[in-house]
Amino acid sequence: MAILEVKNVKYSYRSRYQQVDALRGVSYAFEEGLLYALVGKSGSGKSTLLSLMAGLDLPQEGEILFEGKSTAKMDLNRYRRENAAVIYQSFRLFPLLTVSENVTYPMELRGFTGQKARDRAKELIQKVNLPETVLDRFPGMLSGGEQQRVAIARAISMDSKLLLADEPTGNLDTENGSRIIELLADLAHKDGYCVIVATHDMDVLPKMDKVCRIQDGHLFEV
Amino acid sequence: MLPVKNGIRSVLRSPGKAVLFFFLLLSLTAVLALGLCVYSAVSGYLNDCDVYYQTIAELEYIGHSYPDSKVFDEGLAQSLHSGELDIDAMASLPGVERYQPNRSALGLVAGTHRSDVEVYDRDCAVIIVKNLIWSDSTEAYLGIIQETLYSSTDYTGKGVFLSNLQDADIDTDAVYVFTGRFFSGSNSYPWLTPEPAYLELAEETVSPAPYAVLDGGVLPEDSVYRTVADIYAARNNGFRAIFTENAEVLRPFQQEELILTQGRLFDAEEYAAGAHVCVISNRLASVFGVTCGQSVPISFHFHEGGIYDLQDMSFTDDVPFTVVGIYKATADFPDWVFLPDSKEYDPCEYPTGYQVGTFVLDNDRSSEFYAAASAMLPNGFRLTVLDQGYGTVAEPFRELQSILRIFLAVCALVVLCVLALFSFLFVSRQREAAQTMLALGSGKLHVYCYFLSACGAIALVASALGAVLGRLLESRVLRYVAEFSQKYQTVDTRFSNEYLSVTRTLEFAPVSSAALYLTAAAILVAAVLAVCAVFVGKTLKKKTAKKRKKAPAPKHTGHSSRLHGRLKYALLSIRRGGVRTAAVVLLAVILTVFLGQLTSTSDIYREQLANIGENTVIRGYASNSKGLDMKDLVIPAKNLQELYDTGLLHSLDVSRSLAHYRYVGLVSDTAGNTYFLDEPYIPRGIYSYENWLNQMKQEPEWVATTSLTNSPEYFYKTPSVTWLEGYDESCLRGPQCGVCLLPETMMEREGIGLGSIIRVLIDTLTPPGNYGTYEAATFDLLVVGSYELAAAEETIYSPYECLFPIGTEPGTCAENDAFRMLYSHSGQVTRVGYREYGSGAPQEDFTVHVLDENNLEDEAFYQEVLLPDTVPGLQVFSGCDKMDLSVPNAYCCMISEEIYEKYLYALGGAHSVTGYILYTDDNGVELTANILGVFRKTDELTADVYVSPTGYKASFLWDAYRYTEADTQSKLPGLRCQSAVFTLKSAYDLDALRDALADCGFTTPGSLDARNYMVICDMDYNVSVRTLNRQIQYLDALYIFLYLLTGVIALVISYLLILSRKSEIAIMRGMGTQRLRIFLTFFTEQLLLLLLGCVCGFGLWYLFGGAVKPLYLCLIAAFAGCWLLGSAVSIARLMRSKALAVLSDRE
Repeated sequence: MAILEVKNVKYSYRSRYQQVDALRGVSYAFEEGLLYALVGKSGSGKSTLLSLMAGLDLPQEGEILFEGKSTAKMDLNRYRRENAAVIYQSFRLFPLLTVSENVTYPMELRGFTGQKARDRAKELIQKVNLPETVLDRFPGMLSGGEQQRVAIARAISMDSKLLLADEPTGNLDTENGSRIIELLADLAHKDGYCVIVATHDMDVLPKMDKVCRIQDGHLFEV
Repeated sequence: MLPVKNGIRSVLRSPGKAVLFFFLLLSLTAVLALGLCVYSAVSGYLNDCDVYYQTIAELEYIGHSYPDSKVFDEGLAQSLHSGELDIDAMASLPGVERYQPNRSALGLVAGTHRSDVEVYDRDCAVIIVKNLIWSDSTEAYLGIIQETLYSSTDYTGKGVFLSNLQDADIDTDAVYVFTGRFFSGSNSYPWLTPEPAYLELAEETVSPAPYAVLDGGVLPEDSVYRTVADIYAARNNGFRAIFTENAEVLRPFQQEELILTQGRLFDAEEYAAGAHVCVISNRLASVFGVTCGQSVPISFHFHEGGIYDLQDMSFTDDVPFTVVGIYKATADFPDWVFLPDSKEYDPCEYPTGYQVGTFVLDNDRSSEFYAAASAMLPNGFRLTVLDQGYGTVAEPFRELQSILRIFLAVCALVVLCVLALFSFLFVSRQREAAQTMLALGSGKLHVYCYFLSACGAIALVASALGAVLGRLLESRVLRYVAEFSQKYQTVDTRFSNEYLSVTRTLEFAPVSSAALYLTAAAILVAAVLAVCAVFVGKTLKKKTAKKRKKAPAPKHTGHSSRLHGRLKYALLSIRRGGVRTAAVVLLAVILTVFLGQLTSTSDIYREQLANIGENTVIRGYASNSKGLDMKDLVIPAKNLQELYDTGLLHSLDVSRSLAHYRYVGLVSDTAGNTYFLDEPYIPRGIYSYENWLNQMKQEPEWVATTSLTNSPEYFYKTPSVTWLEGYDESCLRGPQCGVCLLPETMMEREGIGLGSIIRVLIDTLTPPGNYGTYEAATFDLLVVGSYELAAAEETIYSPYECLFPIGTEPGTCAENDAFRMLYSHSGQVTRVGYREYGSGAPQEDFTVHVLDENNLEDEAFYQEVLLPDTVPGLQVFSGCDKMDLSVPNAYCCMISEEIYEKYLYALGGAHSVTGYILYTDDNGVELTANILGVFRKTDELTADVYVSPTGYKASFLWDAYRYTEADTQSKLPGLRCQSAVFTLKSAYDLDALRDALADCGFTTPGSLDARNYMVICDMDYNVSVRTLNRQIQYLDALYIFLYLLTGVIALVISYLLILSRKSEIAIMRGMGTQRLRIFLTFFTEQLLLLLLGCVCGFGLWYLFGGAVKPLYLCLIAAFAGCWLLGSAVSIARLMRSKALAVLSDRE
């Protein structure tokens, strides 16, 4: 069953010099338990589509349905807080918070605080194959791969079924990148997440369940 | 050309930026050009003023001879010789361009004879007289002038009266030589009063007798009388020669008191060469018979003891001097001849007269000089700054110039900021373009051309149009400047001693120049190109993007277990913020303390300004039209009383010359011994009496004053007075009569001690309303003080209270007219010493107590002391009833045993006494009262005579003597004072005083349409107030800028600080954190940091004794407000930005 459905989504914006029609009617249905790759040239609209799916913006035409409900009718903050977790290329961890605090931050947004949250953070850190010792460290003290794992732990701490990743291996070496993809694949296959990865890295495509290409504002499944 | 073309294209293709900067540069050029134009106009005007106006400070010695410019003052010479007055030190003070001493000599043109009123001593004469006869009617000898050895007017062959010779042994058949002084009265013959001539010839003092018999009727050739005549002639025919390095800076020319009617002053070459040229008065030109261009042979006499002290008659050889200018003579400068200073002559080191020298000052630093030089002046010297009105005219322009400097500096700063932003946006943001050009093989020159042409194109067009706009607005702005300066020139200068100078005017008429605008535009274009070039250089250096530094891990401080929500994140951020947290707190501390310092500094100046008046004593004086002389004036007492009644004055001291006096002798000495004095000789004849009065006018004055300290003689020095026990200066104000202060020199010479009673003969006493009536009289005065002489004359000072009761409430003090009668609160009338010569009345003063039935004290005195039969030594004459003493219109009296035995008993027991008692509106009233009896003087019965009240009332118009409001109106108009000195109650009332002075009929010196001038000595105060005001004004202007700057700093830094946290905000947004939560998280963090910083700063400020004023608290609040506003705006802006763009590193 599709957890996220994109229906005829159109989106254009004005850059410094021209009008860009980023999405010209994209339609697709993403299902739980699968790992999707979103590929395309630079400026093809990958990130635009990702931001629309993450609830950071609304489509100008068409709609995005999460579990059958249009995001246009939702409180986008709540949607992001509870349903759509995003992993970024630059990890985007709070530099002044420890790993534990970073991971528990989304929980606190949902009122899940205290020891329970910290125990949950410990579980999640273990789940992303990091030792407990990193919990009290600051992001700046970790390697890139470790930081991205923390970011994944934070993303899944939201208990959402939709995991969006924007070039998650962009800042990592091949080995670390591969591990992250494997981790995301495990999350999709074992935990039933719908994981959508926007990437340029062709090496990771074989590990994907489905590959979608965006070209000329349209999405095609490859 | 390609890079230029591409550069311009790049501008055209970013129209938003281009238009913004076009207008910014246009506005800045216009403002900058206008600022420069106004600054140039103001500076030019100030330069013109500096040339047009000349400030000098005239140094004068207010010594014994002041204001006689012909007398050599030993005191001045002593001060200069001893170094008490350090001229060299004063001349080296800041602001002095040079010092010009008063160098003068006695000049003489051989063969000239002057008879004008301005000669040195017009009346002195040496004559040979024959055919002397005694004239009873005139009480003088009449003779024929056989020869005139010297006289300004030649009376040879005419008759002459010779006075004061009634006791002389004159041989009427002999021929006499006389020295003395002529007097021309109403008689057709001149009168000569023989006087000895005291001369210091060579090294011996010669004092030839006033007359001598000539053997054979011929005066020997070597006679000393011929020398006397020669000296008289040289003094009177001579003139004052002034040697000057620059005549234009001498007071008479600088103050335009002397106006050239012909020719010119000296030129630079004549000064340099010490040329034989001169500028003379029209009067002397007439005496010499010369005009401009003609020569006159002049010889000079130099003597250290004053130019008129002709010890050896040694004159230099005649040298022809060419007259280059002729001025119109005035009373003050009748016969001065100005000459370029020359090394050829060596004029006297010490000046003759009171003018010591002139400091030529830098116009802008005269106040500074005055403040420093005043502190160096010893007692008796006066320094007067005369700036021709420069201060009033230049002050607002100087203020404006200072403001413009600040304005231009701020403009320059703004220009730099705008240019930096401009360059950043146009250059730094195009780094990629620059690198692409380099990568494609373009040289650096091409890259520079690309960017500079782009920036230059905008700057050129904008600056050109800005210059045109500025030029169009110029006339309006300059008109506003003129109005502004005009407004500030209307400073109230009335009565101030700071503005005694003549006022010259110089119109503010700036000439604008298009070049200035072109220059401003060119400067701006050059600045744009320069700043852009710097940015291009920096851009080219950054070939590779900065490697992103890995942020250092924060210290693990604090635990989050007990915290949650937005406060948790804010506190963790504060705790772990490290440098960022510390920087915010430190900045808040610094700015809080800085604001405290700003308000405190401003307050210190304001406090000083507020308190400056507390310790300032401002004095003032009535003056002549020039505002300098304060003696011998005619000041209506009514105006003074009105001034006093305003309540603004702390004290008002006045003085009036009562008469000229001649010391008769000692009536009683300190030990109480009394002496019999012969009646002084008073001529009875009309002409001889007239001549006597003329002689008396040469005698020193008897002055009534309310204060010696504030008398004109002591205005510039403190008097040294020794008082008789029980007396002090207040006695001059109190109802004391018959007392006096004598000069120490006189007391020493005459053997007078404190407590002695002296008798003086006076020439005239002119009662109010009875001018022109002359009386001769003697007064007996108790000597209660001695003072060190400050003036040439041996003035006697007595209380003024009798003239009009300044400082008393109406009805509490009686008005007594000029000492003739004092009238105390107890009702006692004391006849102080009036004598009517030839009346046959008792020739001794006595005290009279006229009883007043309306006076309760007198009533009690009657009942309890005088009327009972227990009166000591009571003898009631037969047929008399003692009770008649209280009967109306009885005209009776009781006299003391002493009076009776001394006079009446000797006369055969007269039954009445006749006295002559003066009262206010008349010369006096003769009172005859029947003597009822005799009493013995006791402690209670102290008067010599007790007169019945009715008789007294009938004769003396008792009520008329009471000082009432009505009296003020009726009597004061008749009174005139000769000097007035006042002290202001509070310096803060200065403006009110100016108005009050104007309301009371006084005018500022220099006005020609009035007679009563007043000067307020407020220069020091004004300078201090002005300096403080200027500092406050500058600080206020600067502070507004600094306050705004502080606000802007707070706004910008807080904005940027939050901006640097955009990724955190984006992450939060990405995770769906509520907007309010995000806002409050960061806002709370900033609020807490700010609170911490401000509290610490405030605590520090308070701890170190800083003042906490409402303004300070407001400023802290404003600073905090700005900081929080900056934070809030920044947070709000970040929450509107594209979160994904931030999170995806695409921004």
